[in-house]
Amino acid sequence: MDMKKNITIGSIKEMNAFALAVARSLKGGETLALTGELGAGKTAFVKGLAKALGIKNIVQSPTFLLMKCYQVRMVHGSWSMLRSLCHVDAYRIKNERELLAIGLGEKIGDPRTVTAIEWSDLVPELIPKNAIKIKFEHGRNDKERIVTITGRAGNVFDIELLDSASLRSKNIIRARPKPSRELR
Amino acid sequence: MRILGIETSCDETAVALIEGKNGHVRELESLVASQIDIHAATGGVVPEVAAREHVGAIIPLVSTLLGKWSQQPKIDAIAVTAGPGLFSSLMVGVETAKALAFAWNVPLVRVNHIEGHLYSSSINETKPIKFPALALIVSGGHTEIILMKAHGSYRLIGRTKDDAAGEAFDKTAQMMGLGYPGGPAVAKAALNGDIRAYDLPRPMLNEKNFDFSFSGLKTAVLYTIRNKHLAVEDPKIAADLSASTQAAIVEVLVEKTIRAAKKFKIKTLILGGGVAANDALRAALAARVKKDLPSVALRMPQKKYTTDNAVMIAAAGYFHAAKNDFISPSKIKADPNWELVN
Repeated sequence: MDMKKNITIGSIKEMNAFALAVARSLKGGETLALTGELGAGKTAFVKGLAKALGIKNIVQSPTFLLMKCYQVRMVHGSWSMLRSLCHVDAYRIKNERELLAIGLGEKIGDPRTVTAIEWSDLVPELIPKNAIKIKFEHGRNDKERIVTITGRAGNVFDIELLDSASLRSKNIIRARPKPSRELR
Repeated sequence: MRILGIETSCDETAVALIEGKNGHVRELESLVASQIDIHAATGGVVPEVAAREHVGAIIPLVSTLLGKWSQQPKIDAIAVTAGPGLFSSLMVGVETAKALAFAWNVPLVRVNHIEGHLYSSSINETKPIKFPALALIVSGGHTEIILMKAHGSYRLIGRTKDDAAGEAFDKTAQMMGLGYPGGPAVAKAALNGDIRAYDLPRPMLNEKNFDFSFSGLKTAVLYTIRNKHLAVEDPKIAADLSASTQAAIVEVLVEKTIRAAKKFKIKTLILGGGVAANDALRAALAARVKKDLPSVALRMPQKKYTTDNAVMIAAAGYFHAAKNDFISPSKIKADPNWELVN
């Protein structure tokens, strides 16, 4: 059963809170299919996700290098197998084969990897059916973004309970405690 | 000494042969897959090669390169890009270089792609680099300021936190419907435009560090088009917006580089990378150096060496080879995240 959720994000801080909520619901093996026009917030979201996963490297735009993978340093939840975040950008891709040629096929669905693919709508055949789709849109003013998440209910447990108001509140994490641990 | 250079770090497959002597490097021959009719160059052996199809292109390219002499020239070392870049792309060049090094019994040098761009202005140049030197390397995938104390001694001073400058050109060009590659398209449109037509931000200009950020400029251009309802199909509007965008990018790059040059009291300023072909950047940098740092030597690469090529890799390889800085073929590995720092 599909679940769809709309959230309004008013600042980078709220984007990071949203990314943290997503990070906390990941177990490993998920594909995050990101869509949205230039400047809509796709990379900003991945930066927030990386921060939430304890990744210290600067997450730069992978438009030219196509794919960059990072070692996850913070796992949330005792059943999470997540060890690697792969950040992919299909902006320059002309057909799906190009991404398979660089090894994306091995990353998608790997139980220890979460793959975040920007401009995923350009490579529909690569996106698995159970992917979590996140659409980013510009809002009413220059700082605001509207995010729409679509996924199988149960795959995005924490996000189902999320809303714009709770993003601004500091209680979001305390309300649903989850053991988080650092990886060496 | 004669160095064979191999470059396959991302889109391009390139090979080259250089002659290095007494600290000077001279190009003997260069082949870049996208820039030649590879079908014709390989005598019909290889069909059209798409970006990143290195496996099919590399050996024919090496053969064709060496076939330009009636007798295979003596090769003293092989220099190959081992990173940074795309792992699958890098591996092709690295494995080919390893195999050739074994087969010909010739030493191997591993070169960092950014270091290659740094040496691109040393190709066919007779003046040696006076140290310390500072390099601004700007391309579609990289924007970094590097302090060079000596050949092979580098320190990262600043870099982009998000988009590279070349990417900023490409994406704003796309917003204006100017086509690909965006850098040359924006530069061309800007020739007829007014740099003051649109008020765009100079991100991080006043911060004390030497880092960059261009994603804010990208969204500023998008909002300018959206909020002012700009008809970007109108050539005059595209020209003005291109000029204003280019001016913003150039100003940030030049200002921070000159500031770093002053702080580190450098003797040579080096420009490199795909965006080093941009005339507005070259002119602005030259003007500032002449005005503020008249005793500093400015080195800019010939335009043909600004995009990815193997001549610059062979050139960097020469300076390593001159110090016997080789790597055993059994130890060399492709490293997509290789940082040029010591």
